Amino acid sequence: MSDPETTPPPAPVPALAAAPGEGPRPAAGDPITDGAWHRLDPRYVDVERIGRWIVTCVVSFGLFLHLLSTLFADEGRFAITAAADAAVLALLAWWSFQWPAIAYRRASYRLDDRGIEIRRGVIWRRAVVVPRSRVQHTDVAQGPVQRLYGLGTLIVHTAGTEHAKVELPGLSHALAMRIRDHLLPAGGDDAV
Amino acid sequence: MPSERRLHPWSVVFTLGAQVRQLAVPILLALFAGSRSGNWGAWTLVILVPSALAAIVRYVAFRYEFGATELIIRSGLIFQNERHIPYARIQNLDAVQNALHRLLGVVDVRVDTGTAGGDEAHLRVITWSAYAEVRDRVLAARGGPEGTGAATPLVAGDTASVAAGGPDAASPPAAARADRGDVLLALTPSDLALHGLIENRAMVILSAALGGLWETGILEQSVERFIGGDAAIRDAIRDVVVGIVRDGVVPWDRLLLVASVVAGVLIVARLLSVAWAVVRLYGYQVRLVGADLRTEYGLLTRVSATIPLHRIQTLTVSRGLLHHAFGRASVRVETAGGQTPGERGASAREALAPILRVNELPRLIGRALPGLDVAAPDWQPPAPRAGRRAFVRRAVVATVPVATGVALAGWRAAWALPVVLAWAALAARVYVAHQRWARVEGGVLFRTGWIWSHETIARVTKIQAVEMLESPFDRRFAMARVRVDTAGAGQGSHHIDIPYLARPAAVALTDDLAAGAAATAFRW
Repeated sequence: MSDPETTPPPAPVPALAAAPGEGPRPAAGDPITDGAWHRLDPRYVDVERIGRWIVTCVVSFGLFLHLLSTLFADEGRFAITAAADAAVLALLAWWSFQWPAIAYRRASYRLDDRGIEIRRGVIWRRAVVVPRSRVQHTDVAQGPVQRLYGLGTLIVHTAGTEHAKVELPGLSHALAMRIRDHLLPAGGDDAV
Repeated sequence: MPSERRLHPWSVVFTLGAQVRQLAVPILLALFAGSRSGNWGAWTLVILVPSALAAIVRYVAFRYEFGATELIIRSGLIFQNERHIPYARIQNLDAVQNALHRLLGVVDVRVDTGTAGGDEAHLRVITWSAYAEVRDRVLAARGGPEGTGAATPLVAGDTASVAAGGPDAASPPAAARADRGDVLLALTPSDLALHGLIENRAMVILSAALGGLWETGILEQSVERFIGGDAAIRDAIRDVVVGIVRDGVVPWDRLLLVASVVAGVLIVARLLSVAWAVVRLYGYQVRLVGADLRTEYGLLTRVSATIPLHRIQTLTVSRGLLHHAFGRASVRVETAGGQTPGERGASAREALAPILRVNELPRLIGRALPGLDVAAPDWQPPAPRAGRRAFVRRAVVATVPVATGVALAGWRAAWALPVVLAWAALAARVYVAHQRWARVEGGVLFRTGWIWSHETIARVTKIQAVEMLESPFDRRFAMARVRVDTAGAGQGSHHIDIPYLARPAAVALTDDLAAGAAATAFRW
């Protein structure tokens, strides 16, 4: 398995061409709408890990306090509590370090003239297709950690109910902006 | 020409009434609590006086105006608000007239544009001719043949006063023709009685009332007073059970009494439901006027709802046990309008036909969804091994209570396992045997259920997003689930959500629907 956190962050636009594509080659003209499957930006794994490590730190502080309290209250149960807490911590560490990489491998998106298709999910997998003609408006959001890494989350709003808001995190900010511009309701900007 | 219009002065009364109704619970609590301390009058005043002031302020500050392309509504005295609603965005125009409204010659109008929050503008209340003007303006601005039609009178025989009301009213013959439209459904009182019998709404209300009484402890008190507490009931039941099991003596007289009381309550509930349905939906009529469906009903409270045809997102035909027995069905439509549960306007929009004969279905669907041929769809079954998955799912769910029973009562409870497994097998078989989907030109259909069946039709032009889901179980069986998202899809209602599809079929359907949706423009 590749280790995405050691790979240098690729430049925004070449990232697309470098991404593993299974579909047809990019069509002449707009390179975004090549209809090929693209992976997210590899830096997304690190962004996810940082967020999860913060959660893990908070939880492990709670576990530490819990352990201290059992140490002073009841000595007989200390070993069992310590083992249980260690197990929880190990699980959290795995969830923080390994899970983002697994989720990264299961996430991809595809853009063509008709719209956007997003595949995500490790255990429950879902593929959502939003036709371009159904895009009401789009947002590009950036959290503090994402900003640090130059990433952004593309948010597509539709008139639907369950999918009133379809999110695609883990794109480089510049690419997210380009996709956003492409998905914006066609007001005569191009004749696709 | 004075372009700004105001509400009718009676607005103050109706706004206050609505506020009091919203505050009914606090007021009742104040009365309840105050009846002990003796100053309930003061408490009621504390609640009522601000409401009355707010109602007056609302009336004084509220203005509406017909712009060239939009309805402009100004409200608020201190915090002023000006809202612009383009005519083209108006989804539904609902008018409600209860007995008091009719006495005073006013009407409660809601303008709904399809935002999730419900109605955008609530004209509570305006005169009847003002409503006619609003409707004419909105319809005229939207264009089309219906634009020239005068507003339909809610109360038959009121036509003369209305015809002059609309400034844009066309020549009388054209107006009259557009006015009547094409009657798609007219329910007679006997139809409505049957609907009441099937719907059995009184039983729901009765159950809710019993629940409420139970929660507040009133039920317990009265049981104690009349029968002598929970213990007395428990003892009585135990006596009966012990009598049957140990002595073989069945106390027929007591059982008969209980059975007749229960039967009596059930019969009274049904009769009340019938009466309620007839009064509430009296004169139920759906007409197609131009490109709008107009629904009107009500004996005391007269409701008039307008659903533009192109606002219909999905249509669902539902049938229950009694529907089958009488050869009937009910039809609901989902519009993109705000679904505000519990509001009269919303429920009026949802039910297109509370009840209709099965042989009338094709005509209604054909008119409500023009251009969609759903007469003989090519129904597709789920994947071959769907039955097995449906069974496992039900078996797991059904085993939980049995396991709980075993844990509580020991292995004696295990005899229930074969029973629930047999039930699971039967239920899974029936479910899969009646789950069908079909792709027709311009739409997709999904049907579930045998006795309690639902069939939903969605147009491709109304599809917002298509989702394909694969659970771990789906992957093991090479299956997938396809869900279609539309605007205004209500929680818990029947949707295009097709489980147990063979994966290639699911991929093909997803692509097909997404491509179809992409090729069409969505019009609100």
